[in-house]
Amino acid sequence: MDEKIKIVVADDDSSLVLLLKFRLENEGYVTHVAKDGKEAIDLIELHNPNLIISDIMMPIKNGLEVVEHVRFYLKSKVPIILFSKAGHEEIVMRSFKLGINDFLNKPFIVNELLIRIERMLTKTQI
Amino acid sequence: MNKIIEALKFIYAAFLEESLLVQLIWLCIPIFFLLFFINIFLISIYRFRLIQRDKKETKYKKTYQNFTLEFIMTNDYEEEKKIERKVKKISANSYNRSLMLKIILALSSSVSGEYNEKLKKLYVNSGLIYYSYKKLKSRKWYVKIEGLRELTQLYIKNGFEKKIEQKIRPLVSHKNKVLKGEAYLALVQLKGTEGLYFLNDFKEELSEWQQIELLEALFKIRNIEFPYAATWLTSTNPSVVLFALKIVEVYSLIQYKSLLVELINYKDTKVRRRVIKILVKFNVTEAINPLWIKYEHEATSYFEKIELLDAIHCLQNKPQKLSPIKEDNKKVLISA
Repeated sequence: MDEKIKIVVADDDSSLVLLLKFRLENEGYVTHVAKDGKEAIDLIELHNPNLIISDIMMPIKNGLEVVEHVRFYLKSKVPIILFSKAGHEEIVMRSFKLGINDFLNKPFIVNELLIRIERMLTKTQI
Repeated sequence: MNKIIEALKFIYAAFLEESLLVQLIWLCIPIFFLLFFINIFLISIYRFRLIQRDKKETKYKKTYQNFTLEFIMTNDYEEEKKIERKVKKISANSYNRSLMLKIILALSSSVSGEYNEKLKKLYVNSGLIYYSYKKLKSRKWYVKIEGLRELTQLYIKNGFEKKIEQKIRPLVSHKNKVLKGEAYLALVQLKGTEGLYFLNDFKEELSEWQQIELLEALFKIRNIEFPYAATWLTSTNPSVVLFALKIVEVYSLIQYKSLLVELINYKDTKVRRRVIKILVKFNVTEAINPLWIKYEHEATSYFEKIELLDAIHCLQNKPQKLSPIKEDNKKVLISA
């Protein structure tokens, strides 16, 4: 039986999270949403998703801390996409050093994000 | 009961026997206690109101978010019109209006492309744009700034550009510095480099921060041109010249090299130093002789002399025949 692909989306902007949830569920993905880093980590540990999409600037724990937790504590290789409004070179470099797979600057085109997600999931399945 | 009355009488008698200062101190104790309890009471009320406000916001936010998402994802004209009418209706109330705007602004700063265009369409067609325009007429500078930011972030060619621009232009010379800075940015976002017309005759100082913000706003414009760059480079205002130099450097406007060479003799030190760096970066060899003349006849400080020599060396790309450099300063001689 084909297991549905699970995605965790984390951002403190509830409108964006709702939009992404709607679009991702339309594409057939099971989507769990979080409004802060701590909630994101809880969801990741609970659902063991196939992909994580997260903003960097979030309350309680930020996106980089979520990545650190996933890569170094959970030792998971799940693909991670980060996005941020403040896409400074340092933040981008630090994110890639921590082990993310892709980075998007806000504002981004939602369709572009969906294509990147599809490619990333295809790559990991091969 | 009698005992309590006796005790109070005793305390009162003892109180009257004390000196004035001690009496005052004693009076302060119940006053402070009273103030403390009033404070706790007020904080509780305020906290309760905040909780109620959050609950109200949560309740309405979900509904308005759904309106917004339905609008941006539908392709049906009738559906769009229906939602625009709904938003127009709820925007009559100031609380709902500000919540709706908050949602649209937050989403528009996160998504671009088709969804962003639809958000702007909703903003204009639902009439929210009129409320932002009205904010420009407010006496409060921070309300004007809110209006400016809303209009520029959600700007779309809507036929009201001239009206909006007419309202923003006077703000460029407003006494409030923050509002002025926002007006500069708003003009750039609305009209591109044409919006920087005010620099042509700018008498005030354009701060470093304002220059950075303007440059960031310019970066977002595609196929950019600078028709007034020559005017800015020849301005008597050093901060305008410095801003123009940043533009020349970032956008590699090499066509202005002759103007840059002239700026070697500009009155302001910061401008001269910046120009020299740009001349070296662009490898403008025509600057070698003017730099030499500056070094031999006009430069006084040894820092300036060293900079000039460094620039000449870089431009010539070979060790300069230094016979004879008449130089008393040993540090400069060593550098040469």
